[in-house]
Amino acid sequence: MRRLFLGHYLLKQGLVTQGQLDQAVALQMEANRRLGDLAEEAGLLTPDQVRSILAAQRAADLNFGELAVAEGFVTRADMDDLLFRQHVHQVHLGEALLTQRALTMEQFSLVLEEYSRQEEARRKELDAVLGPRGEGRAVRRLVEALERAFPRFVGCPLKALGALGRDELAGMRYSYDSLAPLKEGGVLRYSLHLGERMQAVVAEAPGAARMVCAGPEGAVRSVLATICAHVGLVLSGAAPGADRAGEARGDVLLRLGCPEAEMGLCASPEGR
Amino acid sequence: MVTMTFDTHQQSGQAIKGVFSTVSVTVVGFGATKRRVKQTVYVYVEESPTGEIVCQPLSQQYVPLGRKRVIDKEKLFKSFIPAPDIYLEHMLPALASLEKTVDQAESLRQDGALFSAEFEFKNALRLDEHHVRASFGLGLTYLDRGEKEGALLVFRRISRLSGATAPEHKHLFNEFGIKLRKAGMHRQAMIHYCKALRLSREDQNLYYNLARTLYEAGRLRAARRMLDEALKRQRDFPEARLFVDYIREKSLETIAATSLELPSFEAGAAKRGGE
Repeated sequence: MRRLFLGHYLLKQGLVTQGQLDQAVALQMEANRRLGDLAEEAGLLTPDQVRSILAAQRAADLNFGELAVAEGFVTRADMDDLLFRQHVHQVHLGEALLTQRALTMEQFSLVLEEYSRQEEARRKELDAVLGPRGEGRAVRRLVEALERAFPRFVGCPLKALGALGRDELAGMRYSYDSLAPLKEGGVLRYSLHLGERMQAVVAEAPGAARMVCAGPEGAVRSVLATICAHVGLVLSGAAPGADRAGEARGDVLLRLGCPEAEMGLCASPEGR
Repeated sequence: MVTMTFDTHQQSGQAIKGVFSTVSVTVVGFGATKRRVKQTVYVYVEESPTGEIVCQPLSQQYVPLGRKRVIDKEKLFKSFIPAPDIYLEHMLPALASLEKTVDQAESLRQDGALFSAEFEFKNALRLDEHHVRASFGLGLTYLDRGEKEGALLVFRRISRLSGATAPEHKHLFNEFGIKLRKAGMHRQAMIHYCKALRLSREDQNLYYNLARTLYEAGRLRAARRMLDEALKRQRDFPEARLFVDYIREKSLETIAATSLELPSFEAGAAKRGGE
C-alpha cells in the first residue's frame, strides 16, 4: 500500500517508532480543540447553539464556522478570529513529534518538504483523472464529499490517490451502489468497492449499527448507506456530466485510501 | 528605558509604564463547598501621550494579551499595586523571547525552510495572537508554499489587525500584497491595497501595485485610472508610464482582435425610422 499519510511515511523511513507516533497522536488529541469548544469558552456560543449547529451539520456539508455565521449566532469577524486561534493552536503530527523531540528540526523540515512533494504529485495525478480543481465537476465533488464524510462517519481520514485499474477494482469483492441526483436533472451513479481490510475498518466505525442478524456486513452496509445519503445531499448542487473523464470515456475509476486500507470508486456521470 | 513612576506627563514628562497587580475574588463551588478564592491578576499599564491610562491583562506567559481598556488614574492608584519585579523579571524577558522566536521564524522563511518557519511563527502566535510581524510571517509562509486556504485565513486576520499598516511593518505589508497578487488572490490583494490607501492616500506605489492587481484581474480601465492617480502624485514615475503605454497598446490590440463593427449612425437611424 502506498504511504499516503505522514505517520506511515515516517515509520517506513525508520525516522520514528510506533510508540513515538502513538505519543504524538495523544499529544494532538489533547492539544487540538474543536471550534465549538473554543467558541463556548470565548463566550461566543452557548452549549445549545453548539448542539444546534452540530445537528445542522449532519444534514449539510457545511463546516461548523459557516453554519454558525449563517445561523446568525456569531459575526463573520468573530468567527474569523476564532478560526485563526484554532489554526494557530492546532498541532500537526510533525509538530507534535518535533515537540516531543522524536524528530530534530532538520529532520522535521526535510521530511515535510519531501512529504509535501509527494502530496503535490498525488494532486497532479488526481487532476489528470478528474480535471482541474475549482470547476465544480460532479465526480470531484463526490470525491471531496467522501473525503470529508469518512472522518465524520468512520472516524478515520480518507484520501483519493489516483487512477485505479479495472482488474484491481474486480479484486475488491464487496461493493455498494448508490446514485446522486444532480442539478438540472442529471444523475451520478457510483459504487464503492471494498476489500476485506477496508470492510473491517468500516465495520469498526464508532457509529456502525451492528445488526445481530446481519453481522459485520450489515454494519458496513449501514455505515456506507449513511455516507452515501450525506454525499447525496452535498452533490445536489453539482452540475451533471461536466467531468472531463466522464465525457471522454464514461466511468471514472479511482483509488481511495485510509491509513489501514484502500478502496475503489467507480463513478458514471449521466448528463441532462 | 523602563520607567515606573507615579508622576504624570504634566508634572514630570515621564509616563506611567509597567506591570500592576490587583486581587480578584471569585466564588467557586456550590452549597457546602462554596468558597471565595483570591487570585492575583497582573495587567500591563501604559500612559498614552494624551494622558490616558491604558491597561491590558498579562497572559500566563506574562505577555500583554486581550482587550485593552482605558481607566482613570485615580482608579489605577486605588485598585492596583505596582509590580516592577513582574515587569522586569517576567514580562520583558517574555517579550524578548517572543521577538527572538519571530526573528528565527523569519530567518527560516528566508532560507526556504517553510515548514520550520510555520512552526516558529505559530509558536510566537500562541503566545500573542495579535503579533503583527508573526501574522504577516505566517501568511507569507503559506503564500510561499502555495497554500491559499491558510493564506486566506491569515489575510482575514491581518485585515482586522490594528498596527498592520504601521510604518514599521510597511515592507511586510507590501510583500504580502504582492504575494497575494502573484498567488492569483486578486480580490484579497485589492482589499489589502485599498485598506492601505485609506490610511495613506498619497502613496503612489500603492496606486501602482493596485493597478497591477486590477490589470491581472482583467480590469484594464480601472488599472489605467489607478496609474493616473499614481502619476498625479509622482509625475516622474517611469514604471507607471511604461505600464500606461502597455495598457493602451493592449486595449488597441483587443479592439482590433475582436473586429467588431458597429452599424453606422445613418444605418441605425434608417432602421429605427423603418420600424
